Amino acid sequence: MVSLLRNLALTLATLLAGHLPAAADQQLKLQDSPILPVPERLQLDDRKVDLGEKLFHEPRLSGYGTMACSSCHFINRSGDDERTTSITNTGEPDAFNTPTVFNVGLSHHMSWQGKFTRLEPQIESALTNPKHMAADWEKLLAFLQNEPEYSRQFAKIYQTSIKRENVLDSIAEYERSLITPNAPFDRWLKGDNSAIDQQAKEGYLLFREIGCIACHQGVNVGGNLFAPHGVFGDPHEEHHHQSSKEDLSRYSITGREKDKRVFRVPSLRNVAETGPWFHDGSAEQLSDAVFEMAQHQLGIKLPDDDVAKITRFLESLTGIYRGKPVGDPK
Amino acid sequence: MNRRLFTIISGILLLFSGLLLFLVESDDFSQVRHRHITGLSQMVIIHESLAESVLQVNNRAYTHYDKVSETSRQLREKHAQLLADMKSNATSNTEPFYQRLSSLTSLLEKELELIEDFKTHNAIAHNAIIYLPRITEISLASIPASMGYERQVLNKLNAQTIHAHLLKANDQYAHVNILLTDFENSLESINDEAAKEQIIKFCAHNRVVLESSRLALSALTSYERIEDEIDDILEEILSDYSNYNQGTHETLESYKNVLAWFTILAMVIIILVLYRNTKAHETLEKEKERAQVTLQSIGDGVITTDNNGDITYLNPVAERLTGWTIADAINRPLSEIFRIVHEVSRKTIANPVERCLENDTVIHLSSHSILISRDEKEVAIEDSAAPIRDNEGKIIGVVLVFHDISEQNILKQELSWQATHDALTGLINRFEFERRVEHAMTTSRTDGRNHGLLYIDLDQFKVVNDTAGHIAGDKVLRQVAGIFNNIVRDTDTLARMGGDEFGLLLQDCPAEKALEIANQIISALSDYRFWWEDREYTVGASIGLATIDHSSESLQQVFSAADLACYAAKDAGRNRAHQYHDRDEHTISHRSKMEQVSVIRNALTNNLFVLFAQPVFAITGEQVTAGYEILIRMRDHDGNMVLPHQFLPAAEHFDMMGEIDRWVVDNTFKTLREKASTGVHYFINLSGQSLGNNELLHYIKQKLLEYQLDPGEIGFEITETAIVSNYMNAQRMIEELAKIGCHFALDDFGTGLSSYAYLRHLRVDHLKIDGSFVREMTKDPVSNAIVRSICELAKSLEIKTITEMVEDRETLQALKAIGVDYAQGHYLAKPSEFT
Repeated sequence: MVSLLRNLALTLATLLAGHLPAAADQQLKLQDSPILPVPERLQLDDRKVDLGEKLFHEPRLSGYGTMACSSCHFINRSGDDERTTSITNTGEPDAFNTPTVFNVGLSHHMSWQGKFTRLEPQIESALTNPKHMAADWEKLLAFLQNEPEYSRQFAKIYQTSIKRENVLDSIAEYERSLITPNAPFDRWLKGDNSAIDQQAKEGYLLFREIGCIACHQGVNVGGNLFAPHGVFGDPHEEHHHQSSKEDLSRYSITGREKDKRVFRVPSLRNVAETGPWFHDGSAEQLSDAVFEMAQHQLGIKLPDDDVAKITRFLESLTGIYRGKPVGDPK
Repeated sequence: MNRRLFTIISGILLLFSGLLLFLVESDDFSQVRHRHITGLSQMVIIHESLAESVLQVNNRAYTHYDKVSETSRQLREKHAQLLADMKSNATSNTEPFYQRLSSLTSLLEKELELIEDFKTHNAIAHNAIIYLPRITEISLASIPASMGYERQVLNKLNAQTIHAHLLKANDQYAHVNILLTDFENSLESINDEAAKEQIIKFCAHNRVVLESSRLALSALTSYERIEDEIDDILEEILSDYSNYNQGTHETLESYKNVLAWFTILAMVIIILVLYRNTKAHETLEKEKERAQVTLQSIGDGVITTDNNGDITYLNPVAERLTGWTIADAINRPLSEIFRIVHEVSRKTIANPVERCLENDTVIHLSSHSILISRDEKEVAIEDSAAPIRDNEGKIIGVVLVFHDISEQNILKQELSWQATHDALTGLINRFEFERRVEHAMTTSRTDGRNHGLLYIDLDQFKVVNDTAGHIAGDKVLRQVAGIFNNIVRDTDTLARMGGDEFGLLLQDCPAEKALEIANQIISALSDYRFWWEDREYTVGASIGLATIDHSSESLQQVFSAADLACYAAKDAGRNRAHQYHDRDEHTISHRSKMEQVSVIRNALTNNLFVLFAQPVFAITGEQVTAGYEILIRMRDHDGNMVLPHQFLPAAEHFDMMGEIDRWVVDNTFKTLREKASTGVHYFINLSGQSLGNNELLHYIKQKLLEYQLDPGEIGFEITETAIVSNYMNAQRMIEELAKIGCHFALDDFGTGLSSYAYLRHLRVDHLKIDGSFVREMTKDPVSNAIVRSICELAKSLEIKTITEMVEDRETLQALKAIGVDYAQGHYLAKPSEFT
């Protein structure tokens, strides 16, 4: 009974204060949330991250010595190449829009077709793709071995001669370090009620209510399942998707009938900064992408007002990398 | 005897020893086998946790797939890693295990693929169903009123599709599919093109719901089948491998013994030869040298004595173990050099050589001997003594062979430690715990002593795991295990049973004492705080107690008794201990949880639920009926009415509250349609499980439309606890339904923590003061004060108050005096069937 009275006194005090106890409110948000905040830091090997960062920016890894990972993933901007689709080493446009490398370590499937579930094979595929970096392992390893700075660093970390798996390991460790925590939305999730404005909050409610959340969820707001592009109608027929000439879906790698039109659901982290949108970069405006997703994935013609709210919410998913917001050119 | 023959025999024996030594040496693989077994059991655990996370996804409205995806990745990697390890370290004996594990690859890939399929279709189905009622509304709005038939079918299809989606049954999908196809075929004749286009869109939407729900169900069903199959195969490989490992280990042990004896025999023969062949001096020297080499090189300690028991020889191992050099030891009595005591009792063990001389046979010592060396160091040894005879068979001395078994002991202990302990907490595991409980039962039958068995289930642990992640969860488990360990007595046995469940066997402990210990555990946990990333978490425990005495029938019975008691403790509000009694109403009503589920399921399908209504009276002025609270009863197979507290906990436990709530809503509305409107309110109770789910909101709205009811007549009662755990959804639901005129009452008010704060944020118009205060208020001034203060507060917020459990005239008078608006209770009117 005494404790009951104490509770009563406590709650009366809270009533006077006029709002929910902050801790309880925050707990509710997190407990209920299908979206989880990006962790603020990870346990990584700093020496590998340093080495990986150098390798990531090293054009001499490529077959023609002209292209580095950073040629298509601008780390000081938004982690992608800002083009409609990536370009090959001869300057031709390639099939896919380049996904951002930010937060890639938090995704469970890599690439638009979800070819890989681990970073290392994904990195190797980009390195050795003849249309892109066109690296040759033998030459690449010899180059690193002959470069005193690299060979010293490798020896220090791995205690062996430079090997293929160690090159991939250090680049992967660097990519894992590319997380963008403290997006306004994450800060709101963690209890800072003023981190996002009313329009973004309403946008988030819509995002949950109309169903976007069913696919875009988890810490990366996507990146962990597959879905057909076009549940209600075929966007390829109705819109001018470039890919209509060739099949880019998961079907092209698995050959299974059920994988036709199926793509990896991309992460929406930093999405406001990673346009143009979709696997073929066919959406010029984020609001166009939102409208089309609602139309073809959910079967809803979304009014402009709602599109604006959801877009506002998506803008609040832009996180911080090395002290500045992703995509900020300063 | 012929010397040459001796030489040949001892040569052969040495050869054998060498061969055996080689076999023993090759036992480097025991480490590898160890690693394989650990890997296999980790795989089994990951595989189980994957199944658990898939089911969690299936049971929740809002969810994310990070855990499923992460666990899938772990499973794939563990499998690959284990295969690589088994392949590079394969022997002809372990090769079949590699093959068996390798043949699982395609099955595992299939399983992971099914999970991906399930995720995809689950997400699509979820989206499509959310928007279906809205599409229906839009379609109805754009079809002219003249198309009565089409409008009717639209409504029907909307309801049936939702129904099929909720029931998750293939025949339902098929049934609605037929309706849908028929309808589509009939569209040809429509002339109004705009309406036709809208209807086609509507049909397509329905089809997406049905098709994706069906595909999700089929992926889940196939997944569950394949999951079972893989689980069986994995368990089988693990158990076969463990058996194989055990066998190898024993074989190696026996090799070692045989090796020792072969070596000794060879040596004895050589010594005899040396002794007898003084003439053949050169040969003798050679033989002696060979014997020395043998003795120097073998890993066992060897001491020989003459027939008085005085030392004649020590090999280097014996020198090291006893701490005596051969020079110091020679001609001293054996008992001085070879001091042995029993491992546990520390009593001196009779000198094996004397016993050997007395009995004229080989003496084996027990494996519990400790050798105390010259510098007082202790070594665990295993030894044996055999007589040495001359040509005529007369004993001329004794050879004593012993070896250091401390290392072997450690290995043995380690092996049994892993098999019997939980790696996370270091407590013993379920398997070992069951063995010990069984042992306690057996002894109890013979010596008549009583023991206590506690089944401890952590409350709110899921919150930690779900919000802070399983690394934090693991940490909590370890810390909680530490707390328990501090409380239990030395004679007790604490075990982790899996998940967040612990078992505690209280040796020689009467029920009262056991309850006391259980309460100590609960109170220790209530002081426990866990911090993770700047947030505080608490956990509690529900404890079930069963006693073990001479009448305990079986292990299973004792465990299920403790489990049921634990279940009852949870039921009674968690964070408490409950003792199992045969005749306990609590435990009887929950004798078989599964049985209950089928009873409830049966009641749902065969309409065995009955609605009751208890009038609620306005008591401020003239006492008139202002409304009714709708209550649910279940008719059992004898036609008796079962009260809700006997089946709702089980329904809650098995996630069936959503269905029951829908049944109540549907049947209340159906009955109300037949009644003339009287302006009173009907209050329906909604459970927490329904609040966690947007579907109920749509269901209620749709049913209100379908039965053409005035929403102003309908009220809902929601408890604070239900709101706290589903805050976002509860708030939305209240907002939406209040907008169209429904009423809301906050139930059980006063028992929660932050009640008043919620009042400001939720659009509730009634407060229902918890019955426990009302019942006590005429006897207990504190209860009276609480009722009074709640009532005053409600007035200032313009919220009406309702009191329940009004059971006598005095209470009613007191409530009137305070100014409570409404009252219900047996004194005023009992519930009666609602028709």
